[in-house]
Amino acid sequence: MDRESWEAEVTGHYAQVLRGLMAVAGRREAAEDALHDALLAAMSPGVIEGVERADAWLFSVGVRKLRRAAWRRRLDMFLGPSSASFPEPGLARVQALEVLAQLTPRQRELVVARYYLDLSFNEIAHHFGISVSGATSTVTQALARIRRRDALVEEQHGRA
Amino acid sequence: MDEREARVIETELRRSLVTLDQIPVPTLSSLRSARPGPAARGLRAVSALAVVAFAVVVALVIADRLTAFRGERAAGPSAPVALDDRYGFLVPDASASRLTLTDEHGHALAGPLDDVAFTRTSPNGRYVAVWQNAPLGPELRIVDGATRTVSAPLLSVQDPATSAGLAWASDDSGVVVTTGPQLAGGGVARVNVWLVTITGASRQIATYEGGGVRPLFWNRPGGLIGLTATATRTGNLMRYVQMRDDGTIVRDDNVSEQPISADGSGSLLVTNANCSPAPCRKYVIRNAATYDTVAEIPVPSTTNVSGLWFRPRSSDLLVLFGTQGTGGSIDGRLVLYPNKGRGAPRDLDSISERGAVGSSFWVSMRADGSAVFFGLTQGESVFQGDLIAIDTGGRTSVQVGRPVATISLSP
Repeated sequence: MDRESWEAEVTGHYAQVLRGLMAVAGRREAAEDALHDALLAAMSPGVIEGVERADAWLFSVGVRKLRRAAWRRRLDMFLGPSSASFPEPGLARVQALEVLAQLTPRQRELVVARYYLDLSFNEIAHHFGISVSGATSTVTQALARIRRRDALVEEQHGRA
Repeated sequence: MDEREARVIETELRRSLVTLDQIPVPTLSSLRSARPGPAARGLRAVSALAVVAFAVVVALVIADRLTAFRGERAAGPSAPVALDDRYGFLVPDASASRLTLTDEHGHALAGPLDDVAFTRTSPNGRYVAVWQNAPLGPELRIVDGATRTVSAPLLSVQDPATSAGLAWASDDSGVVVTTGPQLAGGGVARVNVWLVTITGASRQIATYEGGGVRPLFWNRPGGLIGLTATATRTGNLMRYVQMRDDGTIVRDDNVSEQPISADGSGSLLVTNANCSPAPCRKYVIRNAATYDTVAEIPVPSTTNVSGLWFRPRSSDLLVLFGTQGTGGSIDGRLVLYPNKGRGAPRDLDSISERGAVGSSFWVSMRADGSAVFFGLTQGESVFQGDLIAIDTGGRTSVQVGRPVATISLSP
C-alpha cells in the first residue's frame, strides 16, 4: 500500500479501529494509547508498503500493544484507585461491552475483528499469527459462550 | 450449537456491536500527537514500581500527576472548527456562469472557468474534474488544488449536443467519462465510455446503449467500473452495469431501485428505493461489487427534499431530510450515518425557517470530509450558514463564496 492510500484508509477507519480496541480493552485510555502506538509503529520504514488493509493491521497491532500494556496497568493498581481509574465517557452505556465482557480476552479480540471490523477468518489468521482453524474455533467458542449466557438470562427471567 | 443457532447469535452479535458506534472518539490528529511515546510510558511504569517499593507518598504524587495527564487527554480535544486555508472551493461569480478557485477565506487562486456544466471532486480531495461547455462541444479539465492550476482540455467532444457524465477513479488517477447525445424523455442512445487519466491519456473502452447512462464509480484496484441507466422510459426500472476497465461488461441487470452514487473507493453504492403503498421510502446502502444490502436508511414520510453524500475518505454517509411547505416554510435535518450506514445515526445540525420563499438547502462537504457547510441559499454567489466539524460536532457561522465544489489545497 502506498502512503497516500494508507492515509486515506487510516482517516476513514481509525474511529472504528479505536472503538474496536475500546471494546477489547474496556478502557478508552488504554485503547487510545494502543492505537497511538500502532500509528507510530506504522511509520517505521517499509511497514506501510507491506500492509494490505490498514484497519486490520492497526487493530491487530493495537491488540498486541494492549496485551503488553496490561502488566503496566496491574502495577498502576498498586498505586490506588486514583491512578487506575479514569473517566470513560459513554462506555458504560454501550450494550456491546456488556456482551463482550463475558468473553475471554482472546475471544473478545477475535469477535471484534470478525463481527465489528468485518475481517474474514483468513485475514484474522494472517494478522493475529494463528491458523484459520484456530480463529474459527475461538470465535465459535465465543458464540457458544454468549448463547449459554443468553440461555441463563432467559431461564432466570422465566423463573422471576 | 447448530449452524442455524450460530447464525442467530451472529446476527444478534453484529447488532450489538453496532452500538460501539455510539462511543465518541477524538480526532485522528490528536491521537497522533501530544502523547507520550511507548518508551516514555514504559519508563513511567518502571518508575511507578520503584515508587511502590520505596516511598508510598512519592508514588501518590506521581500517581496524581499521571492521573491529571490522562484526565486531560481523556476529556478529548474540542478544537473549534474554523475556515482553513488548506482547503478551498470553486465559487461562482455574481453571474453564476464563471467559477474561480479560492481558499476558504476567499482568496482567488486560479481561474476563472467559464460556462461550467458540472464538477466532481476526487476521492482524496486534491482534484476537481470540470466539464465545460465550449463552442464546439464539452471539454474536460482538471483543477489541481495542490498546484492551484487548471489543466488544458483532457478530452474534447466535437459536438455541442453532447451530454457527459463522470466519476473519479478510487485512487485519484483519472476519471471514467460517458459521452453521448442529449435525449429527453428516457430516449435510448449509444454512449461512449472513456477512461481519462489526470496526465491527459484517454482511451474509449466501450460503447453502451441505454438511456440516461452515467458512471457511478471506478474501483481502480478491482479494475471495475459501475454505471447506471434507465431501463424504461419512465425511469421506474433502472439498470446497474458493471464493466471491467477493458470495456468488458460483467453485469447488466434491471434493478428496482435507483442507484444514486458511490463512495470514493467504489466499494459502496447508495440506491433510492420507492415503494407502494407509501410511506416506505428508504435509502439502501449496497456492496458495489455484489449488490448485496449493507444497510438501510428509512426516509421519513414528511421528507420531500433529501440528499445523500458519502463522506470523503470514509464509509460514513451524510443524509439531509428536508421538508419544504407552502409559504416558504423549510425544515431540514442533517444526519451522519457512520460505518457504511450501519452505525448509530447522529444529528449534525438542523434548520427551521418560515417565510424563506425561494430558498433551498445547501450542503457542501470539505474535501477531506472533516467538516460540512450547511445552510440555505437562494442561488446567490455567497453562502451563509454553519461550518460543522463532523467528528466533534463543533460549529461556526460562516459567510463564504458558495462552494460549487470543494477541494483540498495540499498534496
